[in-house]
Amino acid sequence: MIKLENRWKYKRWIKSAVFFAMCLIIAACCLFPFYWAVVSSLRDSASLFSTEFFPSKITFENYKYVFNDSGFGYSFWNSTVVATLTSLLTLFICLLAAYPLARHRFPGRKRVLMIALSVTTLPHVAVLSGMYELIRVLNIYNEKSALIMADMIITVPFTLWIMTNFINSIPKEIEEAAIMDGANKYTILTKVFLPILGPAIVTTGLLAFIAAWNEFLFALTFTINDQARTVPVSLALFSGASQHELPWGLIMAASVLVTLPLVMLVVIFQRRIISGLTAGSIKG
Amino acid sequence: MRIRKVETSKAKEKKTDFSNWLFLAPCLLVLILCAGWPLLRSIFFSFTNASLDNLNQTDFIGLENFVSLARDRDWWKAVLNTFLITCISVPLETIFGMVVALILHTNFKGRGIMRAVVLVPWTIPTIVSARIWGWMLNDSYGIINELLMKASIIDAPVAWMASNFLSIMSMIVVEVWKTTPYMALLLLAGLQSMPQDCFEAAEVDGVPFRKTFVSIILPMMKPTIIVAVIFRALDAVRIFDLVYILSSGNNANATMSVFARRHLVEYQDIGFGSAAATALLFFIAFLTVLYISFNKKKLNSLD
Amino acid sequence: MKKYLILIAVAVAFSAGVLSCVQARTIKITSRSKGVELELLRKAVDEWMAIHKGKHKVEIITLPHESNNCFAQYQGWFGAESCDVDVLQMDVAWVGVFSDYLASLDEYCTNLDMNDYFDIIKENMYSNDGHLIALPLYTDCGLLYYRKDLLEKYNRSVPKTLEELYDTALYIQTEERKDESKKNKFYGFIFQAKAFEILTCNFLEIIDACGGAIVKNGVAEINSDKGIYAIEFLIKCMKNITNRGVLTYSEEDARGIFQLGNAVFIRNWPYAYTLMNGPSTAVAGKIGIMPIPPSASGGKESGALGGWFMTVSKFSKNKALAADLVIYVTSKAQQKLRVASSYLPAFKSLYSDKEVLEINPFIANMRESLLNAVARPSKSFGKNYSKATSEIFNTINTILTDSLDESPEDFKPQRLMKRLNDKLNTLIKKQNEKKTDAANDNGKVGFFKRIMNCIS
Repeated sequence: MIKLENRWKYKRWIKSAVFFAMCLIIAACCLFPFYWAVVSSLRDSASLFSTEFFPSKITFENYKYVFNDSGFGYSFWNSTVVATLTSLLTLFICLLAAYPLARHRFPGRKRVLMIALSVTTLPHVAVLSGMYELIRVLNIYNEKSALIMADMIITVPFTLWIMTNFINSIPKEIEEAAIMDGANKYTILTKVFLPILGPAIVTTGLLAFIAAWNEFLFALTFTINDQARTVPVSLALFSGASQHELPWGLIMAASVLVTLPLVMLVVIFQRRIISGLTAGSIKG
Repeated sequence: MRIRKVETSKAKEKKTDFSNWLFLAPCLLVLILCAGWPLLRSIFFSFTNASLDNLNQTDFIGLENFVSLARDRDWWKAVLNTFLITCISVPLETIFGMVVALILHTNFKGRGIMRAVVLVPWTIPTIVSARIWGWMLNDSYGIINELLMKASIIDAPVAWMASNFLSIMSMIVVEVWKTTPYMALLLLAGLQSMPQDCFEAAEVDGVPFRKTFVSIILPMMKPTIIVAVIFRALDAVRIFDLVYILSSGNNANATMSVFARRHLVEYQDIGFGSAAATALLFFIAFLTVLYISFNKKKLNSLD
Repeated sequence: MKKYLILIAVAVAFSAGVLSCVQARTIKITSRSKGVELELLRKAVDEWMAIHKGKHKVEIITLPHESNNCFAQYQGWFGAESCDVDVLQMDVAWVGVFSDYLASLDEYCTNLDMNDYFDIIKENMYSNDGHLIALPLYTDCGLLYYRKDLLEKYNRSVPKTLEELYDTALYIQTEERKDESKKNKFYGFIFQAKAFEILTCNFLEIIDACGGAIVKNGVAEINSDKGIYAIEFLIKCMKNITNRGVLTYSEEDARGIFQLGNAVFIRNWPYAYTLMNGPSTAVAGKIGIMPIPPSASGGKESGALGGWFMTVSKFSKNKALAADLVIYVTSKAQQKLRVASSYLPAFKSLYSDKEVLEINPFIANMRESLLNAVARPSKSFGKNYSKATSEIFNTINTILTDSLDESPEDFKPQRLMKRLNDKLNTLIKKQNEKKTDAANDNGKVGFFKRIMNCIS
C-alpha cells in the first residue's frame, strides 16, 4: 500500500516536471523572437552580426536614430491618430447599432448580423481597387481620413458582433424599469446601458485599436510619403536608409518601439482582451 | 396579465420599427460605403481593362481577364502556395493551440503569467514579426542558421528565402508562431464552457489523461474546433503582410493576395488584378458560407 | 446653429484642399533617396531657396525606397492628373515610360551645354518627339569591384573576360575556403538576383557583355544565342561561385557580404565604393573597380546605366519655377558636390576636372564605363515597362532558383527563355497598339467624370 502511494507520488512528480518543462518550452518559443529583436536593437553596428545570446556592450544609438532622424515620429503619430479615431468612431457606430440588434426583433435584423459576419471574412485585396477609386474621388488620397475609412471595414463588423453579444448577455430586467418610465431608446442606451457596458467598451475599443494599428495593406496602398505613413508601412519600407551599415539594428529598434505599447496594453488588459476575442467568434 | 404585457410590447415594437433602422443607419452606411460599394466596383473592374493611371477610360471586356487568369501559371502557383500555407499551418496551429489551451486550462501557479506570455506573439504586429523573423532567418547573419550550425544539423548556412519550398515552409513556421496563441484562446474558451466536473471526475478516478482527452474532451470540443479551424482558414487564405515582407519578390512564392495586389498596384492592371481578387473572393465565399452555417447556432441563440 | 458652423467648417476645409494646388507657392519635389543622397538634395534645395530669398518654399516628398513601389506611385499621380507634385525624381528607365506626362523643358534650358552630357544619358533626356523632358541628377553605372589584395595573394591578374572572371573567382574561392573560418562563408562572385528591377540590370549587363540585347530594333532578342549564353553564364556562377542567398539580395545585402571580406568579386553601383572603403569594413583600401568585362565569345565591356533624372510634371501649376529648381539641382556645380559621396556626374568634362579627381580619384576610371554603358529598354515598352521588367526578373530569378533545385533532366532554361521572349514581344506589340489607339479615341469619358459632369 505504501509502495503504491510512493509510486503515485513519483508519477505525479514526473507529470508536473513534464508539465513545467512544456510551459518553459512554450514560453521560450513565444518570447525568443522578441528577445532577439531587443538584443539586436541594443547592439552597435560592429557587433550586430555576432550571435551571442547576451550582448556584452549595450548602446542606444539605434533608438536615438529612430527617434531623431528617421521620420519614424511621423508614423508613430499617424498610427496613433488613425487607430484612436478609428476605434472611437467604430465604438460610437457599433454601440448605436448593437442595441437594437440585441434587444429588438425586427425584420432584417438577422440579415444585418449575417452581413456583418461575412464582411469580417472579406479579403481586403478584393475591395482594394474600388476603395482606391473612392478615395481618389473623395480626394483624400494620402490622408489619414482615407485610412480611417478603410480600417472601418475591419473594425466595424467584428465590433458590432461582439457588442451585440455583450448587450444580449445583459439581463432584460435592467432596462424594464426605464421602459416603464417611458424612456426612449436613446435615453435607455446612454443612461442604462452605457454605464454597464464599460468593460465591454474597453475590450472592443482595444481590439479595434490593435486592428487599426496593425493594418498594413490599406496603409501601404493609400499613402505615399513618410509624413502620411503608419508604423507598419514605414517599418516594411525601412531599408537601405543608413550609410555605414545594413539597417537591421534600426529595424529591430523600431520594431521594439512599435510593439512595446501593444504588449503593455495586452498584459494590463489581458483578461478583457481574451474575453472579447472569444466572445466574438464562438462559445455558441 | 403576462399575456397582455407581451401583446403591448409587440405593438410597441411595430411602432418603433423605424427607430431601429435609425440606430442602425450609421453602421449600415459605413458597411455600404466602405465595403459594399468598393466590393461591387472591384468586381465590376474585373470585367474591364481598367488601369490604375486611367480609371476613367475603361472598356468592358467580358471574361477576358478571367480567361487569362486561368492561363496564368503564376496565378496557379499563387493558389497552390496559398493552399499549402493554409492546409499546413491551420492543422499545426490547431494542434499546438490545443496543447497550449490545455495547459492554460490547468490550475497552476503562474497561470496568469503564462497567459500573458502566450499572448505576446499575437500582440506583435504582423509586419514586426515578419521583420524579426526575416532577420532571424537571414542567410548570412541569422541566428537560426547559427543555432542549427552549432547543433550540427546543417553544415553550411541555408538561404531560407531563396528556394520556393523553403520559403513557403519558413512562412508557415512564422504564421504558426504568430497565430497559435489566438487559436489557443478560441479553444480555451471552448474548454471553459465545458462542464468542469467531468475533468475532475476523470482525474479522481485515475483515468489517464490521454483517454479523457480522446473520449470526452475532443468530442465535446468538436463544434468549437470546427468553427475555429474555419475561422483561421479564412484568415490564412487571405494572408498578405507576412508574404509581402518575407518573400524574395519572385512571383513563384506569392500568395493570392500578394499576386492580386502586385497586378493592381505594381503593374497598374486594375482589370486583371481585380479579376484575381474576385477569384480569391470566391474561394473565401465558399469558406464563409461554411463559417456562417456553423455560426447559425450562435445567430439563433441571439433570439 | 452649431450644425451650420460645422458644415461651414467642412466646406472651408474641403475647398482649401481643392484650392491648395492652385495657390501654393510651394514647389513639391519627390525624392526616393534616404541618407546621404537626401541630405545632398536638401542642401541643394536650401541653397536654391536662399537664392530666391525665401520667397518660394520647397517641400521634399520622400518616396518608397523600393523602386517599383515608387514607380507605381508615379503612375498613380499621373493617372489622377495630380498637381500634388511638381518635380519628380525619376530613374533613367522611367523617363521613356512617362514621357507623355512630362513638361517640355526646352524653353527653360536654352543655356545648357548639351554636348557635355554623355551620349547614352542624352538619349534618355528627350521624348520620342524630340522635346527635352529630363535632366540628370547623377548617373550610375554597374561596376565590378574586386579585392586587389586577394588577386595579388593568389597571383592572378584582373580578369579581362567574363570567363576569366569565373575562373579566377572559382580558384580563389576554393583556395580561401581551405581556411577553416571561411569554409562555407567565402564566395567568388556576388551579384543581385532578388526578383526586382536590380536583377534586370544585372542580367542586362551580362547579356550586353556577351554581345546580345534584351530588345533590338523593337523585337525581343532575349532568347537569342547570346541571351542563352548569358543566362548559362549566370547559372554557372549560381552553381559554383556564389551564394544561394543572392537570389534574395538587393544592393545592400550584397554589399554586406563583400564588406565583411567574404567575396572576391561583387557587382554593384558606384555608391558602394565610399561605403566599402569606410572605417569599419574589412576591405577598406583593398578594392579595385572595373567595368563588367566582355565575354571571350564576343561582346563589349558593359555596365547597366542607372542614375536618376529630375523632371517636371505636365500637371504642375508652377512649371517655370519648377524648371528653375530642376536646373539648379542638376547643375554642374551641384554634381561636383555629389562626387565626394561617389555619385557620378553626367557631364563628361567633370571626369577630367582637377578638383573632382582630387576629391574622388576613382571617378577617373568611370568615364570609360559610362561610354560603354547600356540602358534598359524602357522606351520599347512604354507604359508596359513595369510588366516587362517584372517578367524579366521573375523569369531569370526562377531559372536561377531552378538551376539549383531541379534535377538536370527537368531543368530547361531554354523553354522559360522562349516564353519570356514571347511575352516581351506581346508587350511591345501592345504598346504599339496603344499608341495608335490613343490617337483614335480621345473622346471617351469615364464613369466618375460622367457623374461629376452631371453634378456640375
